Amino acid sequence: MPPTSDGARPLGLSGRACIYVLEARGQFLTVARTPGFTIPTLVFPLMFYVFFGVVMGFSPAAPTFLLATYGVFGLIGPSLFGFGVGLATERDSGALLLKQTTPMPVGAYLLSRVVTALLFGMVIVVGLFLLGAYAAEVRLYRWQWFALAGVVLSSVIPFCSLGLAIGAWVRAQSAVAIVNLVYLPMAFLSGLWIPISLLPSFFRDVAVVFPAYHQSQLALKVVALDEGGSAGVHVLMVGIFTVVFLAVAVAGFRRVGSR
Amino acid sequence: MTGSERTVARSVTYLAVMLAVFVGVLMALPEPVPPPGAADAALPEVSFAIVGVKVFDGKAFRPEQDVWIEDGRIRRVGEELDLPEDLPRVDGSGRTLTPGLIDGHVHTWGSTLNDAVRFGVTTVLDQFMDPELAASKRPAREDLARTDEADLYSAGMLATAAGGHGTQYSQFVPVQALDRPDQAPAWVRARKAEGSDWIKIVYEDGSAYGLRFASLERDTVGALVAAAHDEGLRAVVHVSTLQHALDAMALGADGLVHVWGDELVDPAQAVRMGEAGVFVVPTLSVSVSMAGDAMDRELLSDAGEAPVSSMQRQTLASRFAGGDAEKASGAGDRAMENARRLHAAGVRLLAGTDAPNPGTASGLSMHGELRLLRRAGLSSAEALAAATSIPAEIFGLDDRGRIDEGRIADLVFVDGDLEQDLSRSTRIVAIWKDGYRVERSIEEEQAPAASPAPEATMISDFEDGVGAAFGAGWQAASDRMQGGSSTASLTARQGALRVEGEVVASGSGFPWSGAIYFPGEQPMQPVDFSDREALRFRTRGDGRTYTVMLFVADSAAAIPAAVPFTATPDWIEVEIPLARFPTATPGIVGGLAFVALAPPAGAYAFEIDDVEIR
Amino acid sequence: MPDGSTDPIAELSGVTQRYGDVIALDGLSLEIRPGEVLAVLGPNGAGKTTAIGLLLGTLHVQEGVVRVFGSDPGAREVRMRRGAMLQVSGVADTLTVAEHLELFGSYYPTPLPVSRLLVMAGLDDLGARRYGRLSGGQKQRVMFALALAGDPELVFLDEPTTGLDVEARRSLWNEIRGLRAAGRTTVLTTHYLEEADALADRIVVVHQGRVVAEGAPAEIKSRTADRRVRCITSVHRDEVAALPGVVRVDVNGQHLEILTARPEDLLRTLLALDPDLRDLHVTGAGLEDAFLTLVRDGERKEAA
Repeated sequence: MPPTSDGARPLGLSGRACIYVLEARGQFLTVARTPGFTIPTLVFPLMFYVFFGVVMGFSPAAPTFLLATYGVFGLIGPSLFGFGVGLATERDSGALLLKQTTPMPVGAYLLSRVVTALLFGMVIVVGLFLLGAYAAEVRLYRWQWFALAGVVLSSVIPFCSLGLAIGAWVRAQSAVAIVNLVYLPMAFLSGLWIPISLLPSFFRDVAVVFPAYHQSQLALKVVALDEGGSAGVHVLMVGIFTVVFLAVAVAGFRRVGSR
Repeated sequence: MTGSERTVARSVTYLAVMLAVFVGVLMALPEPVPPPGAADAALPEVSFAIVGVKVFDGKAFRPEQDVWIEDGRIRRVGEELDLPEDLPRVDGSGRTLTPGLIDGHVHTWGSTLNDAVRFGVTTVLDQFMDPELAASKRPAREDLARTDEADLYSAGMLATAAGGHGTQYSQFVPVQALDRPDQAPAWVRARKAEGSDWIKIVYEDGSAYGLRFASLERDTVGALVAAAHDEGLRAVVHVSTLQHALDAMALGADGLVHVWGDELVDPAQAVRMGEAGVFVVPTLSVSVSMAGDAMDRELLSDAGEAPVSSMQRQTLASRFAGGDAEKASGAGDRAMENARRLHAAGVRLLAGTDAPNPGTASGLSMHGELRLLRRAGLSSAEALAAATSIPAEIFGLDDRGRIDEGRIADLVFVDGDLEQDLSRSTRIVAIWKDGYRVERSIEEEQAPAASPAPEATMISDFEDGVGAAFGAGWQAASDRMQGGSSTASLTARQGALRVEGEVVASGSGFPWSGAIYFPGEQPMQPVDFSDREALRFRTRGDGRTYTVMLFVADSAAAIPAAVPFTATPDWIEVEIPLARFPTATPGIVGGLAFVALAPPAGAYAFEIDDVEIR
Repeated sequence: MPDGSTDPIAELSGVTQRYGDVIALDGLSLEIRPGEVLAVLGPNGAGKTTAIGLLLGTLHVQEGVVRVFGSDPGAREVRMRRGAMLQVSGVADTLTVAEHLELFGSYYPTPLPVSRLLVMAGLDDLGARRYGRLSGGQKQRVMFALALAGDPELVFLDEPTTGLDVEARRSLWNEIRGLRAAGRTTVLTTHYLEEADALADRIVVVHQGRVVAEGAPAEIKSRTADRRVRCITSVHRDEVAALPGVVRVDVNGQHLEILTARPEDLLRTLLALDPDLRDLHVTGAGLEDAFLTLVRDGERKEAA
């Protein structure tokens, strides 16, 4: 080893980039090789869309509407499971502690999970969009296709934060239960499965407390099927949720660190 | 670290491929296409507003404009107009609104005026057509009534030498040739009386194409220009060589209606033309078509689901015949370069297609011409100005060519941003003519399905009379059906068909008579000869030139394709490749005529034998 | 080689660490010298893992000083020169051994090639196997290889052979011996005296959060070479306790249980006193007994 004066050799930029890429690759492969994760997260949104959007089609706008909401729904899965369950599992197994003893940048660890959620999200978006376009004859302008994909993929921000908060606090076994407890009811109550306007008004009042509601309203804005709320307010709400989740996550890690 | 660097490189490659696939899928996803019927009905007309649209006002692009149309005219244009509550609105976001296009060089017959307006060309500047037809079409441009045709401005008849360029159509469009300068004033007065909006002069000796045509002399051209100016009319000149272009400029011509491809204009000459104020309609669409690069496929594919008429299809598919192909291919590039140099020197260019010449289509080719002008160095705004405000200014059409208060609401509404990408001009959402929505669908009777060609290639050997191996057979025909008084008779004699008759010159139309053969069961019922290559027959006669005309069973193509032959005193064999019939489609041949045309008028006689289509 | 004159490359000094009422470390001081293999020996709950956690920077020190390479143990430059194998640890089941090694290697500026790591950890043919499909011993080897992925100067092995069968343990010992040959400073914790003896240059014995003994393996071994003598005899326990070399006497039913450093003398005396002595067993002392010895020695030293 060629020693330098202080003994420590900082990694070059390309070395740093390598860590990020390899960490993301490792995380993606870990997840992709877990059929118990991939099949439900990929199949559920597409299956629901086929059922409610293509087969049932309770209104002419339904295929377009559900394209936006099942897109957001599809992104909740990989985001929550990757962070919530994945993090709790690594914490329990000691893998996280082991990595903390290495020079791995924390950013690489977090980003690898966001990237993995995004890649799964892209698969879901492509699947949904192709189903929408060719099975349900959804026609959108190119800017709408791109904007919808962008808004749907941006769901990783609030939902990964939520997953991080869950993963920071609970143990692996309870994480699965808690994620499911959040995942499905939040999707339903935010109007991701059935338009909120078709539910009793009580649900509408409840929906505003879920980030998924605001995220889906933003997605619906792209196709002009939203409830008419201000985009700025929805963005602000998503931002507030994200900040709160991150704060909860940081508190969780502090607690663990002082053990 | 080489091992993991390889892994990193591989991972990054996979990631890039995934991203590319993702973006590719998004790019390929279907966009809404407003169906011609249902969605169109939803868009308002006469009095309405288009809001938040990018406007090309005739000179420049302006974002986020509201355009208020009232009773077929533009009432106001501006940002966030205070519009009446109940005024129907059209959302213009993501779209561009341009003035209706003005095609600076067309020829009018058949369905051209409808074909033009269906593709956003709401006004055409015709450079040679039947004066009577022109007279019947001109009034429509004066009012704001609903119409399914482009407004017409036309030179009417053109000025050319006897036998010169333009006279090849004389059987369909009357041409009164002249050959001396002193005939010019009377000729121009006659045009003015017919209603010609300007004078079109042909100064063309064919040399650019390796051919020889009779042409007006330089002094006759000068006399015509002067006479036109005396009558208060503009004079435009058809040229195909640099020398003729410079001559025409020297003679005071207002504009040139083609760009030349024989020689490159040098920059000083171009600047002189700019200073002289001469405008040029480069008609690059026909330049590329002559050079073998017609834009037919590109345009047909970009027309998308917009219906294309059979005439448009047919003229797009046909090709210029004759001339020197090698000479033509270089000429296309030189024509493009000349257009570029003229534009750079400040010469005003007008978008004009010369449609429906071979390789072009009325209306549709205007979008090709815009692309060609971009290729010649014009910006999107300059190319569109050449198709809107500039022709309007030059030809004094003060009521159109711009999106401005008081102008006629001739509008083209296009999806996308034309400033960024002018090639999107074919993505037409709607066209308004005089404030009325233009119906883009076509109610055109479908050409009857062509029956397959029989096995036999020999039509008639005339050994057993006038009969034929198949089809409805031979008939005598003449201009009597158009009110003329020419005659013809057919007899089988000594195993050949003798055609005798007299062509009687008359005041109007074009005199002709001869023999016509119908290959189908009924006259003009089409037969598919698309797998045949040539028409062959033997002939002899009195030494004059006759014409073979190929009629296709399609009402839109009113002018049949014609190829001349000479009946010499001794039998000769004539073979004409079907490809030489320029505007014909061998797939739907309805009739084949061997006729005598006037001039010259008078009696004639010729024989034909062993007529074969092989 | 152990060399008292060299500055330590890592040290704990007067560290006290509490979890609630439980004192995990009680004023512990520990030096790690360059190039040595140091065994921290102690029973479960002695505070070994806490000490390692502090040296790895995964725990924050409450009282006292912890320095590694002269810096804070959690500093990034420190982490780059150090490798660790944790007591309770695992990595993702679905990645292959080589994928894990490559990933860990990427964290360091000069990682060892994966192929070499596989050889060093005796995993030659297992690079392509997923972690989840390995045996317990193989998993430990992967953890060992991960600790070496960054070619570290200082290696921490926290109970590296816990849970392994005898064969697997012996074979991992071979790999650990390789570290010393390569000149890496190594700290390993264990509760097997045999293991510490087999691997270490120096042994520090920790009990209840304190260092109770420290020295070369032979020295420590001699001080814990007690025997347990079990018999039924009429000799009274107090009488036995007074005999030379006896550490402790317990009554267990009819049996006396005697811990002694000099079993031969004891037996000679006992048999002389009680010819009827019966049901005699002599066994090596358990580790717990050994620690008692050391603790007592320590207390004695302190008292002196």
